[in-house]
Amino acid sequence: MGQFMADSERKLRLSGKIEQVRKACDFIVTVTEEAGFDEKSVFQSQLAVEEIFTNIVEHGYKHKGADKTIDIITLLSTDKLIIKILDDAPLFNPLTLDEPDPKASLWDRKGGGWGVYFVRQYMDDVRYKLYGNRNSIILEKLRPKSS
Amino acid sequence: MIEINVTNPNDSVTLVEVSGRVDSMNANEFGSGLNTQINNGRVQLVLDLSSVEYMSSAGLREIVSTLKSAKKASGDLRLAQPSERVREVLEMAGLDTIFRIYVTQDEAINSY
Repeated sequence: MGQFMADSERKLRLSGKIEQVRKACDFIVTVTEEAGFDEKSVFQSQLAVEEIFTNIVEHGYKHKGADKTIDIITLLSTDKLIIKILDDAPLFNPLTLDEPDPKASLWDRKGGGWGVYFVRQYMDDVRYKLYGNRNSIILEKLRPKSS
Repeated sequence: MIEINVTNPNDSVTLVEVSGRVDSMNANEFGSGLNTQINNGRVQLVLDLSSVEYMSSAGLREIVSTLKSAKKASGDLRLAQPSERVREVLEMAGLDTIFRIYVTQDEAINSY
């Protein structure tokens, strides 16, 4: 499972197991650094991808995705980076879930939902879309104006 | 990828120094390292985050869980010198108002 580059599009195909999450993060770090994002945006982008990847492995594939795939496709344009993450888990839009409340007290805090919450906070746009029979989450991060 | 170093700077306080990245791949190991202290009766904890360059929601879940366990045992989990990025993650989740966070390790240890 490798990586290829064609113009401004890159694709990484990984198996759907948690041990692959660092490859997903490393891929995004490379793409964002080469695109001229600052250290903060590189951190935020890799965290967003980790959260989506982890949700797919844990909830979509229920830790049985070793023989299934997660595709990460990045598209770089002059003004933004688009990151698409596709999987073959049962169709489900995680963006419909209630968000946790950061103002909740320690004892009232929800344990789940924080991953998607961070994705929404750290990316400029987050969408769910069906690609045939595949789930896809589409993330957008605006490029620094000086690039 | 993650190193956890545990020391006892005085009779009551346990210092847990972590280095590396805390993500969904190793958050369980990180949480186990913290919970071992509570299971051993060491409930006044300081977690030094100065060498943690990355922490996602998986890591946050573990420190919140440990804080609850510590408080149930009449203890606490206090944080020392988180990096700028980790501090932002804590703030984004509203955890900067739930944890006591100290600028230096000594301040955190001496706060007990």
